[in-house]
Amino acid sequence: MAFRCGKAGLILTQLGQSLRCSSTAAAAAQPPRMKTFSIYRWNPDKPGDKPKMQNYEVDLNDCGPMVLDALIKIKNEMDPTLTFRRSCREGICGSCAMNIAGANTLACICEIDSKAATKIYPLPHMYVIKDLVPDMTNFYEQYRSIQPWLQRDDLKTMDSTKEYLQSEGDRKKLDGLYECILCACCSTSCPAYWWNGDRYLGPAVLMQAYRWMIDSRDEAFEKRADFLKDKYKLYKCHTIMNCTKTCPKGLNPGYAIAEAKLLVAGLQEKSKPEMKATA
Amino acid sequence: MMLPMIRSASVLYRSTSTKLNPIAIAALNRTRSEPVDRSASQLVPVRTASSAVAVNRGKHWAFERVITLGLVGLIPASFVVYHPSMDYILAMGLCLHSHWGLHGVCADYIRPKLFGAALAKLAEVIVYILSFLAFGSVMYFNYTDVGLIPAFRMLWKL
Repeated sequence: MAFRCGKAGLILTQLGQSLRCSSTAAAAAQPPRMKTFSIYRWNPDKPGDKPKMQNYEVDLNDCGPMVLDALIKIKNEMDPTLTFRRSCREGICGSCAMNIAGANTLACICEIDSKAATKIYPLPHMYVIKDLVPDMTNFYEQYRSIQPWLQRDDLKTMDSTKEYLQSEGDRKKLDGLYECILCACCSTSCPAYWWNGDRYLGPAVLMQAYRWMIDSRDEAFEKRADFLKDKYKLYKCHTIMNCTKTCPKGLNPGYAIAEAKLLVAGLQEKSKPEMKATA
Repeated sequence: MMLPMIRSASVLYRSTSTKLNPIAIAALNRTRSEPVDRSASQLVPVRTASSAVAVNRGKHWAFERVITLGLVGLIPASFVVYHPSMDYILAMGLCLHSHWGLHGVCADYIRPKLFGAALAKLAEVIVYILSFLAFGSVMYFNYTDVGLIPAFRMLWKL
């Protein structure tokens, strides 16, 4: 990179090398712990390119503990063409969702295991834009379709300096639902979503649909339930529970979907708000 | 399955007979300097959500669960007690249960996206025909022969 970035880049590179040397001084005494990362590669800019797996050898003595650290190391030091999404590196943005060693998870909070090799693929059954970058358009479009925002009749007339009130109990009902970061690990682990992703909404979106249905401040329950009542959107869930198993945030979309099914079928009522939303 | 003429990525994506990635196609068709249009309008799936269905499938879903749970009770019970009416109830329950199962398999695997709308519909019709045939046959057996539960018991004795 130095030849491209000029003097500043050169200095930075040298600085990086000296830093790395000091950090590996202790590690140098140890034998290298080499691990193979076998990564899905596909380049749309090369006409006729077929997807392939490419192996990268990484010395774990000289690498951070998480898979994302290894990916960044590979991109920085071995192959700048390797393409993946990442942002927060602490499991809150959901950008680095990918299929690591057969399970969908966030690369940034997935520890590198001690096995000799790890395979890394993009999220399963998604259109691939490049390498580990999936096309999320359909997923976001489905999220948009459930209208994930507060809906009330008095939104326009409400004093905008006042907040809507909610009892502690009602607020507690949203725990385990609102934490979802929409990384799509669950939806893309779901066979029903692989098969009918164009018509079935998938666990991540359905959990948010449920979250808005049960919000004590929301008044659009009927509309929301009515939207989900068809054959595919909600009821194509087969309770396979891959969603709950794979969720990197430890949430339970499978449970939320089961509750949503009862609500939409009319077997359960939305509970009355414990507190009036407007004082 | 014919691959349609590639005119633009959006046309390709809106056709139902292809699995190719529209962005990949767009990428193949453009030179590096051309901008890629990834606006939502281009990539919104064809089957957008229409909630204008009259039936609440939730009711259907609940009914399916009731039948399934009923069978969990009825099948072991039929080994202990017997009344000829149970033959008919069991036949009804088993046929409904297997029909919904097969219908679900059909909807999951023989999708319009892969096989075209006509073939998918045909598969669905075949499931209905099979289910009616099965139901008719079992009912006929109940009516003219020993009945379903005694038949199972005789099998058990062998």
